[in-house]
Amino acid sequence: MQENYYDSIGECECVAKLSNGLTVSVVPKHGFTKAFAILAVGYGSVDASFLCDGVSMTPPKGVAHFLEHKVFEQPDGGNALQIFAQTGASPNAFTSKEMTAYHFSCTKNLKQNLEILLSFVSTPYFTDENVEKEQGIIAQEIGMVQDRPGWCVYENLMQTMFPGSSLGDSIIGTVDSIREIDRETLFSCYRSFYRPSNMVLVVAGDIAPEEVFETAEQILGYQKLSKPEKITDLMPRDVPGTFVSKEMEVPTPIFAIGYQTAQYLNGLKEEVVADIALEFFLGTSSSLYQTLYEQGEISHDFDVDSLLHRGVCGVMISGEGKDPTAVRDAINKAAQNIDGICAREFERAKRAQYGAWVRRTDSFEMMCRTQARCYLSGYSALGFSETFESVTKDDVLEFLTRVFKNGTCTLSQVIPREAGE
Amino acid sequence: MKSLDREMIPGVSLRVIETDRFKTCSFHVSFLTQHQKETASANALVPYVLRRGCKRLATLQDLNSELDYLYGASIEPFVYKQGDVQYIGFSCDGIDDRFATGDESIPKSLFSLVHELLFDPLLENGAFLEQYVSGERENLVSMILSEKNEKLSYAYQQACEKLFVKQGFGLSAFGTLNHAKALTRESVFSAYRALLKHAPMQITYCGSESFETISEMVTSVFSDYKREVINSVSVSNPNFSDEVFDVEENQDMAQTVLLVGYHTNADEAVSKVLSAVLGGGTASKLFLNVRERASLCYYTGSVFDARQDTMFFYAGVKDETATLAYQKMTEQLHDCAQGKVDEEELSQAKRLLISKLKIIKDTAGGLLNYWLDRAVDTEQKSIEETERAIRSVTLEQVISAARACELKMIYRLCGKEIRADARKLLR
Repeated sequence: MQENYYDSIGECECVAKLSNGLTVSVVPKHGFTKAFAILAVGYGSVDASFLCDGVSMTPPKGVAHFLEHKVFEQPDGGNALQIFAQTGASPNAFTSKEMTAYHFSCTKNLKQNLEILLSFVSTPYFTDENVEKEQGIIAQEIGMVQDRPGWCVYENLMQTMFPGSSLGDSIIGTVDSIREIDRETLFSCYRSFYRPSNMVLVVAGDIAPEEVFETAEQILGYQKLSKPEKITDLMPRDVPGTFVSKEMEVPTPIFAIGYQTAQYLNGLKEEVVADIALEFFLGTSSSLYQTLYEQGEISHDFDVDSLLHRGVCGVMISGEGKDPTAVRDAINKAAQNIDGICAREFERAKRAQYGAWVRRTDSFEMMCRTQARCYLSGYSALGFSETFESVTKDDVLEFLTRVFKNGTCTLSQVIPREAGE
Repeated sequence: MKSLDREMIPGVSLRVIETDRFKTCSFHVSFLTQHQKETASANALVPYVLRRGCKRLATLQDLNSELDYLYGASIEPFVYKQGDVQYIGFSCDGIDDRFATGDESIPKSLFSLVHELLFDPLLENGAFLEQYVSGERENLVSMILSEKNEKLSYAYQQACEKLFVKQGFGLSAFGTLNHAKALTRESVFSAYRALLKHAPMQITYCGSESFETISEMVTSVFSDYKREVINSVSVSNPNFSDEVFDVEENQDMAQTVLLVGYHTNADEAVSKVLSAVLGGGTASKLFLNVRERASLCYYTGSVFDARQDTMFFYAGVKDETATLAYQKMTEQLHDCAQGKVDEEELSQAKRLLISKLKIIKDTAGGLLNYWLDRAVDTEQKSIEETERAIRSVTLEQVISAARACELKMIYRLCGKEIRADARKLLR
């Protein structure tokens, strides 16, 4: 076990790699009633094709998410959600592009809840009947998200930015693709990815780390299996599109503008540099934001996020405004003029982002989710204070040039449907 | 953790939740006012216009840069409602001084900035700047229109509005579209003056500073604030008509959002437990029967609102199964009323509610919201008191509360091309 102390944020973390290959991180939280735990599997919608124990597979789209729903079901006919209800914990799960995660928060019985979490995730139970039932539920989930303009604008952006790449696929799949999923598919994918060596457990709460390590080994076993080989290339196979538009019943156009490049430097520093760079260039104190806001091109509803996936680096800018094209053009124009960063502006952006990172560690959920995601990519996020110190103006300039000047730009918009259609 | 409150100067109340368990300092400065159609939009626009700039920091960029230097601290317009009381002000948040590398006091700087925004606005010819008012009015109009984008919350809002036509319960915190469109720099300025003069101000702080330190900051920052007659503000009693509303609204959408609303006629804690038994999580009757057993939806649940005495069931379903879903949903309440609910279901519901209450104490946002919600109550119950009330609820009380529920609203937000037979079955 390794103990890491992060004095600048008053946190400590105990990390261990268990005999079965599972990475476990425990952040002791003495004096808090609440605890949070997350078990993350390195399996997301981008893992469309993979090689496991010498066998190559390309299952229907949406399997990782389908599995997330089904893993809760237990061989006795029960459901892990109801077992948690007996202990008073609040469980949930999600699937992202690169991981599937199961988590709970609780105010007591932390060890017992951990046992429930580890047990149900390691006990798959799929039958023809329960798979068919889930197809109905997921079809309703698809119906729900399709009615959300924000979801549509994002999905269209990803599909257009990453044509022919699984990064462009919807996490949830389609009504047709989920119909092709059967219990055999689920078992094969489960066996390939749900291996301790391909999982991470992060716990924040008042518990002895050793207790977590022992519990995880007892329940998940001691055997170490090799990780599946992810053979998906996330770079687009075709030329990314520059524009996609959809009409829906929205009052004002909404947009998502993406920039992407193949040059990605994996690690915490890339994340920190991206955040500082975006704060500098498009944060609420930037000249660009001020101009766009004053001109009424954007409103309070304006977000800027980095899109960092293995081998791909990008940025997504989303919001609401009467003319998305004008927003894109203004950003492109400003990007071409980036040639230096003054010390004061750099300090401003760095301080603003440092504060944001500190605040994020106050949320158990956010801290554990970030740690799980980072550990699956091979690094820890809690040492960010030192990383912030190491970032220079040149790093920020290099990121902005790489993404905004040299990257590909795509605009996705959802505009109001014309009356009478 | 200590939670203390006191009226600092006439019409200005301060609550301090003193704790060093968070890395943040957070507070709200809100004016409280009775939520009415005629005034809601003008009030809602006030913090947005003030946030655009003050005399010293005239632009967004000036103000935001100052906040960035305070480690990305934030001062955001805060428009919210509890029952028919509207809250208007600022929500502020920054990292605790212990985690900053500089030597400035972040809470003190934030209180001063809020004071500047409130009392030193940019004016021209005795009212707000036209440019700021028109820009923010456009944003407000767009915000009200965009409420339609979130189908479930929009449907809930609409159902409440139809249920309480003459009261502020169903009115959006941002007011109505027509009122928002008609706002002028003069009308917003006059709303601002009225708030300053007559609306009680509530300051709620959560962070590591003591009550004494914060009260000194507040007293020194607001010392020159002289109030006139201060209105008394409280949540009204909801008025229900005898009618059962059956409302359908059509949008271009793939799925039906179905809401079934009841007037609850029971004690607050009992109704809360009843709502949790029925739709408070994954062990609830709605989740198990409508989603898991009948496979009719992805999401379903129940929400109880103590201010307006309502309990609403909700689900996202296929147009053609809306009728079946409605039957299954109402059946759950009927079962409860018939006594088909056991001690285990009751304990699970209580555990869920108690766990949620306990978690409140572990987040600054949770604590702030808990006390803000109670700022309109004459008797402000602590988290512990609320927990005790939930623990004491019995199965008999839950059954009798289920019997006392009166159906008041069936609301469906659905696609335009719904089949006629699916449409008429509910009626």
